[in-house]
Amino acid sequence: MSIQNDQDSEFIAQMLPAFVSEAKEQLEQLEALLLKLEDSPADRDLLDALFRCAHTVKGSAGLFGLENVVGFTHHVETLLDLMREGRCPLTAALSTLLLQCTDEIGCLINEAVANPGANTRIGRTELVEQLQRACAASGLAAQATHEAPAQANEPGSTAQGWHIAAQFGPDTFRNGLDPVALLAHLSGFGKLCHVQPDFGRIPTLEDLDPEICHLSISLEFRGEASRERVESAFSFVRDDCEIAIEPLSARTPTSDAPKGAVQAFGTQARGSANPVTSASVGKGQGDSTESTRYIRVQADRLDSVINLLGELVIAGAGAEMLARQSGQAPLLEANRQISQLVEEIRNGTMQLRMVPIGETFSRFRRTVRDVAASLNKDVMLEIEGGETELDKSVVERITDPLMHLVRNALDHGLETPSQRTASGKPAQGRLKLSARHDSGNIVIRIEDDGRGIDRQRVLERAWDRGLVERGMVPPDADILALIFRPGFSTAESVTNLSGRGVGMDVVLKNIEALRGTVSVLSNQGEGTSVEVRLPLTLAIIDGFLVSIGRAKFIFPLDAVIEVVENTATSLDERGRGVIELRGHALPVVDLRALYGLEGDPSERASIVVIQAGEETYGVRVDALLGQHQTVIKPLGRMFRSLRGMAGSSILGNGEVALICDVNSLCGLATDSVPSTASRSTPSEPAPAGLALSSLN
Amino acid sequence: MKPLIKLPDSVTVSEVAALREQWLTTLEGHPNNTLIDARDVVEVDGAGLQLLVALEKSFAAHGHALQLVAPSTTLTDAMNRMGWTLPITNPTAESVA
Repeated sequence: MSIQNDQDSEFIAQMLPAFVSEAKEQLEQLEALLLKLEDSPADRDLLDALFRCAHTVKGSAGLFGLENVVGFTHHVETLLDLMREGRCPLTAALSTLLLQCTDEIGCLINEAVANPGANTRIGRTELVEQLQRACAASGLAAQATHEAPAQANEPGSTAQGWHIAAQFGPDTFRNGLDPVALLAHLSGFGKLCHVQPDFGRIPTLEDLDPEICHLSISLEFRGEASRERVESAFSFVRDDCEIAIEPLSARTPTSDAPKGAVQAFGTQARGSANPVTSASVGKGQGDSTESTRYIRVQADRLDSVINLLGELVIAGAGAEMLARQSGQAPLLEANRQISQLVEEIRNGTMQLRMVPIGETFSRFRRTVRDVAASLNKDVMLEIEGGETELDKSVVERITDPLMHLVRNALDHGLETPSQRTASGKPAQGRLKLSARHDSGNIVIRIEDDGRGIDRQRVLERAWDRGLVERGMVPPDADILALIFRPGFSTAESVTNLSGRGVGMDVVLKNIEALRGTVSVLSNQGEGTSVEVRLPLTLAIIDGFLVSIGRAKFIFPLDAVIEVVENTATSLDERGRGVIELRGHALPVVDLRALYGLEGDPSERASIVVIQAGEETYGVRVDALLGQHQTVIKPLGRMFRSLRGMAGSSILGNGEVALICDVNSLCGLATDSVPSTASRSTPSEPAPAGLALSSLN
Repeated sequence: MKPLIKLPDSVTVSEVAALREQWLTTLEGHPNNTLIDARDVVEVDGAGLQLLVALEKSFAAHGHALQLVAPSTTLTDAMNRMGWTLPITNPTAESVA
């Protein structure tokens, strides 16, 4: 007995993290469904899905004994059930209430998990009261079938309990589930009487496949627990198990329930005699098809595979180099085949980490809704390109900066309806989040049609703070760059959303840490567009290897457009010049001059033409060494300040190559000589990851 | 009579396939010995109980009844939970040896 209790608590401790993460997903889905429902309040499918989410959370919380979560979620579920039956239409106020309840469930789960055993809170009473009022308003609050689980059972069952009949599915054991443990769990909150196994389906040892489950059981459960509570004990096996649960009083209590009761009961449940139970079984089945399509993998396991893959790529490159030196055709061919397979594995593995950005975007729906409401603004959120994929680790680290940009747009950019109509705009503001792929990068854009950045105010603030000498007017792009300075804010009032001047500098820093860039376009009175450009992955890229003297450099292959012959051109002291390419001027930078590399220029130099966003420029190199699978390693601390470089990579022969950051290199190639105005500012130059332009 | 089959300490889904093979081989030619030594069982699950039920049915097919010798508390707890009872034989000096 004690062993099993220990096993139970061990099992619960093991499963709890999985429960928390699944519950969070369910809550996220709940939120997304609620927001979707606001657009089509009568959509039965959405309402059903909504109910299912709440029910799943409640069911699995029950399994872990999180009574507070169960109790609170039950109230939510009751309301959702009324909505589902069309007896309680969704209003804006109701939607807000349900969203708040979703948050509350999340809080309760966190609290329950942080302090197991402590029955601190039973959910915010005002929310419970509001929920009950909403139910009462629909005139059906007193529906006895939906009373709170802690208080009473179904009518007729009173405090007696339930008759349970369960026929476990054939895969029960294979799915790691154990009927004995389940009964032990069930006995944790009630008394099990008249347990009657049905072994009729079990063959003899000779004919038995011992991993297929043939067990059935019927029993009487005596205790205060609600139907949901009892059902929740079966929630893990519900998908492949037939369960019938009936109030005890509905059956004649017998001390010797006949064997074979399960079959009789199962049939009954499958019919329409017990709609509640058959519905719940059906629900479980719906969920199972969804969940079997995914396997949960711990992120660090995937990371270690990717690390190994990095080593494999480096080792593969080494082998290929040796094969090339040996000049043996069959060896070369074999190596080429291996590299091709490695590349396929690499792409496949990287794909495993890719997630669509849409999930992050739809999280902002809630932010937009709540923030706009609190600011009395009417804002429509448009989402475009949500299916665009990027590395999970990038998504995790970009969410906060994006959230800040969205809040900024809502708070500072978009005006109130009255202000908008006064300036001849439609009363409803527009905020658009879009994502797209662009040559090995993902471009995320946050656009609003608000008031735009007020240059004059930015400038005055900069003068006040001593960021710019008073009276000095820097070029437009430099003015916009000021908003990314630490401690800068032009908001007239500090709200709890933004305006404290912490943020934009942090946003920029976070994006730069991901090797990304931010650019701002703003037209006063017409709106602002912030564009964040990020690499798709942080680990491995296809590179184009070049050499300058003895130094090796790598360009991301996606950014290389073409290679042209070097034409003599004069360069300034920072290695910059211009060549003519098919009738257009192409800015060129010479890394030898820029970084002061040793060695004489090669006579057969080439120019690699690079695309960086909208701009193209050339880089003069000595020799082209071809395509190279590049495992990105961070730059050492000494080189962090080096502009134009994004990372380093180890080549097959052990040499180190520097990976060019095409965007910041673009700045170095195309920058005009710094203007007197911006040179006069006392602080540091614009950060490397920042590109600014103006529609003006 | 000394029990022919001695249950290992763990009779769970991980072991049932191997145990079935082992028992089928052991049982050949010894259909009369239905004593099962169950004192060592410290871990048993539904799959383990099901295997014992199947064994009981095999004996029953030959007109014999399975008897547990000195079952551990873990095993009897699990059996009680499932509402299953079997004749239990106290260990004799012979069976312990």
